[in-house]
Amino acid sequence: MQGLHKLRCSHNALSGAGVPWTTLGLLPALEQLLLDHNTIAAVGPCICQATALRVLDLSHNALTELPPDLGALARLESLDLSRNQLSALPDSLGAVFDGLGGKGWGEGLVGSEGLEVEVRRIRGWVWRDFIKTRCEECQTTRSFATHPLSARPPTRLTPTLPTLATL
Amino acid sequence: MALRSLDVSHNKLAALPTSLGRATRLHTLSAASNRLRGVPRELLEGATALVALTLSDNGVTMQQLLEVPGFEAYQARRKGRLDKIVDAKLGADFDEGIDYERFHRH
Repeated sequence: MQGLHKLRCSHNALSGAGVPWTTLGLLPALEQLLLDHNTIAAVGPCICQATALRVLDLSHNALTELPPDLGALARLESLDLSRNQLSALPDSLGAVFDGLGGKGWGEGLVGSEGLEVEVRRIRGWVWRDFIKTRCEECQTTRSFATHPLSARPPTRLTPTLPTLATL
Repeated sequence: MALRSLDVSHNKLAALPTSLGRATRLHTLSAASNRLRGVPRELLEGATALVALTLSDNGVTMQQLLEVPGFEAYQARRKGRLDKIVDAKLGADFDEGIDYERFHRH
């Protein structure tokens, strides 16, 4: 499953609870996720960790809101949210990790050694969007070596968050 | 983000996030059939790759759009693209983007 590039589950009766968002968020090669024409009302925030995603189709569902960190999908090129019940879009869309000179976050560093350096550099910052993407509800502790942080912290930073120690 | 295409048509959106103005690769934005009352100036000024903006079936009037800073620049980009392509879509309707001249012919 680690090498899964494309997953198409269109035209089913999937509800939000029926989608293994945690698992999907952990697939490092997942580039296309097609979940259109289902009955999904909510997207698990873990999906924001699937940073290889280029195409995400959630059209024709029952979405009323989206994870606030959708903008963390730095490689996302095509996003289809048509035919839902959305009343607002996340403020992160288009913005959160765009301060990387065209590179998505994760392209700046590769490997755990680089990660340690980077974590030291950003310690003290609060990377609110990143932390929220950590999937509190999934309780997953991932190796960030395979999904390293970007070379620069994003522009949207807030000054306090104690749980940064978990990094 | 590397976002090039965003389709949010047929929802209940009252506004588009200003953060989209930083989606500098955004080419196509479909936002038809929502509850929009305008577009953020940040979008028109910042999303410099945007050439196809669909806003039909919203509460947005052409006059409102004309008053948004950045709209003229958007129109210039779009016209420049159309001039290069030169195909049957020249003078496309409101759904194909926002064509100022055609709009005014109606």
